[in-house]
Amino acid sequence: VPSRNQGEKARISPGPKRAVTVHSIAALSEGRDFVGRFDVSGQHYEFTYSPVKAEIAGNKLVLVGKMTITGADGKPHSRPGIRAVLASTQGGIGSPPPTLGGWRQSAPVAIPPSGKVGDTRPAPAEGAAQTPPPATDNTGSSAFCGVMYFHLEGLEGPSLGVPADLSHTQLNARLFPTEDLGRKFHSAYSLLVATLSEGDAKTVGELIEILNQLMKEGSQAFASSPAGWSLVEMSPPDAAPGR
Amino acid sequence: LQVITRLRTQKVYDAIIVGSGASGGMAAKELTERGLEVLVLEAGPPVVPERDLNTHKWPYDSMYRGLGPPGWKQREQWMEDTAGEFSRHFYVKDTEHPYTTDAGKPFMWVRARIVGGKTLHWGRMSYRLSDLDFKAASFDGFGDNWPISYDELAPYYGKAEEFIGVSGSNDHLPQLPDGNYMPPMNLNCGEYLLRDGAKKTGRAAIPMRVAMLTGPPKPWMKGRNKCHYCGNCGLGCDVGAMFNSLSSTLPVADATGRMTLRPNSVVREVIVDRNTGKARGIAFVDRETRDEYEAFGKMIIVAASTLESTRILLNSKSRQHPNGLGNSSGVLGHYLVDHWGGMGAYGYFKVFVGRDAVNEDGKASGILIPRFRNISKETKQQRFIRGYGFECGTGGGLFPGFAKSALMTGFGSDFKARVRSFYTVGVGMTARAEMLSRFENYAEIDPGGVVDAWGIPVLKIHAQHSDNEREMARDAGECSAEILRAAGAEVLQTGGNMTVPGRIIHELCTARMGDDPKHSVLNKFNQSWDVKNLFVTDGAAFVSSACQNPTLTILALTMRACDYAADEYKRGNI
Repeated sequence: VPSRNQGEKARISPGPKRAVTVHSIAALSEGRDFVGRFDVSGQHYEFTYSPVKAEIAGNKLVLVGKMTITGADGKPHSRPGIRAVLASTQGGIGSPPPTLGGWRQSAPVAIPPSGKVGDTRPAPAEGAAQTPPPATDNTGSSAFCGVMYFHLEGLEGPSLGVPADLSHTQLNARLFPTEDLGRKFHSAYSLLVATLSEGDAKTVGELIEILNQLMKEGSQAFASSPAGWSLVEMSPPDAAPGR
Repeated sequence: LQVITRLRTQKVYDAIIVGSGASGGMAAKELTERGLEVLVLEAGPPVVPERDLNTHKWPYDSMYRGLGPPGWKQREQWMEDTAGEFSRHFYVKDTEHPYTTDAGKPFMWVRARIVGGKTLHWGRMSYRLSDLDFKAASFDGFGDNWPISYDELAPYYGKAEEFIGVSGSNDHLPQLPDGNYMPPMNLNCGEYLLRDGAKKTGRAAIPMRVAMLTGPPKPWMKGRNKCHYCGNCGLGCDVGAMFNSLSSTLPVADATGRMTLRPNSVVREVIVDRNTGKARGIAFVDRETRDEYEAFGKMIIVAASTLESTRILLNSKSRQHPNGLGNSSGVLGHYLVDHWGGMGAYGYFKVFVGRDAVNEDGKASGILIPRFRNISKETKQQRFIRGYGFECGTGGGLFPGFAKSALMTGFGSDFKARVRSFYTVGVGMTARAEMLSRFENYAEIDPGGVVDAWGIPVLKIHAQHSDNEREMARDAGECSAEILRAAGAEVLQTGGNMTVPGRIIHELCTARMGDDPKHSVLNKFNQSWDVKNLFVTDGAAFVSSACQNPTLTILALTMRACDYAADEYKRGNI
């Protein structure tokens, strides 16, 4: 296989050097924490963001917690009171977590008119089959939140031992817990994200309470289900044949 | 706002091509052959064949039965069975390359940032569209026709097939036009049974038309070799038997001496001339050093893949183009589709239990049951418009899927004996179906301000199936079981779920071509209506997806666009 020229860089000079900016850091959920690592100028840093409080501000989920960053020297630097404001989400793909009370079934999408005269669609035939048509993987009852993207507020690189600008760093928090407490958080976050988009303030309030109780009591929380909620183990979506 | 100071350079290329995959590689070949000097910017790293292509790894080289470490896909990127232990480095990690969706409406955006792009591991299926597809709106009244007809694209289909090498048979089906083929791969026993089963139910079944060399390489296929049936095409094909940019188009462009390829170039935006509104270059960041660069060209070819190209254009806002470059129509990002699959059936041929393999080992293709719904008055459906085909396969590969699954557990000689016993019995078929191209499915720059690892704003993707897809899926489930039974197979499972949008990796239509600048982004030559020296040549240019795999059409459209662009450039019109 030819590989000529592949490593050749165009004769274009780079612009002037700017201060190193860390645009995003990626983490996996572990219990209530978000744990990950990032690199700055070839140096590795490990971090843990530990939220201690959840609240709603401007219809957005806001977590408040401690950020701990450990550099190559092994010395941890911590700062409490770091706010993480939910900016956006990514729908999950794969096996959904167990859910608190089940996921709300989203309404099926009818073909809407595309706004153009002349668009038509066939009308259902009389006596059409009554069985529901097939579902799409990870929608409806098997939908869940896969990633939450937060804007971190209050991070200062130098005070956390990082020679970089962390003032606009984004936390990419991937929800793939492998233990029970993490799964409870995953369920609560998934439900909360869905409920926020539906504008159901009462349920949002209940879910914030659940999150705060989980943060406070950890794995001791909800040995039985929270009032009004039941922990339901969801089945993964049906395996699709022939893929 | 961050102010980026860019260093201006003297060099102005005839054309800058963004992307080195199917379309970018072909554009590089076509333009350099016409005498233009091009710069190809690829976001990913270069390929080192001896390190990166694992075509001839054996199953016993795998620690994880080819699946990769447990949980890695969920931790880094959801790709289901698209990527495996030996090909994972072809793909981006979502953790560095985020995108967003609404809750409960996931989209699987599979991306390969590497020189060669997704051609390194593509499915190789190469089918022409017909006027049933190009003029679909005229048949059923939904959506828009393409601005081109089959006759206009047919010569380029022929050239593309000839250049890349496609094996297949001419089957004389009006919905799937014939082409210039190398010999088809022989069917195996199960495929013969399945073909007969399809025939009994009134459907055709043909050898898959795949971009793999089944005959001697043609003179222009330097360095490529005839397929030797190792069966590991998805790992990169280090002999060049399958078409990819790395072995096919980029070497031809390179041989002209007029191509400069710069890997690790993550494009931030297209630079626009403040006075003319025309494109004048590309701003990009080095993937590794994070240094910011600018490069200048008289013509810009955006071929970064459907959604990435859309993202680049949407991020290229300026005074003249406040809604994104080339988006005066407001449809940039809209009409997003992906083929869907998942629906189908699988089972086994009892008669084959314990039988020795014949040609099942290493045959990396199967049979296709082409679209059979809504292709005539007789096949018109009441419950849905458009149609679907079935991709079908029987028998095992070098490392059969069932041996990796929970269906077959164990180890040692007993395990191997059982795998051999069932090696040729499996049969599966899965739909490849059209998703209607609707304005309501779209991608936008994430309104929450999410960025990637280089600080570039990311896409938020909105895509859901409609009633039409669901009704078609119901039909596909029923038909697949009918065909399997007619073939004499024991049916183990039918139906299933439709795949998440994006999963089939055929995302298309977000910078559609058309006849009307008010309702399309590109004219019929893939040229921006708004910016004369800007072309979008990848799948974004599609008007609708049909149900055929799109790469051959992308290649043909790219050749046609470059033909036009080079002529216009030489005439001084660009």
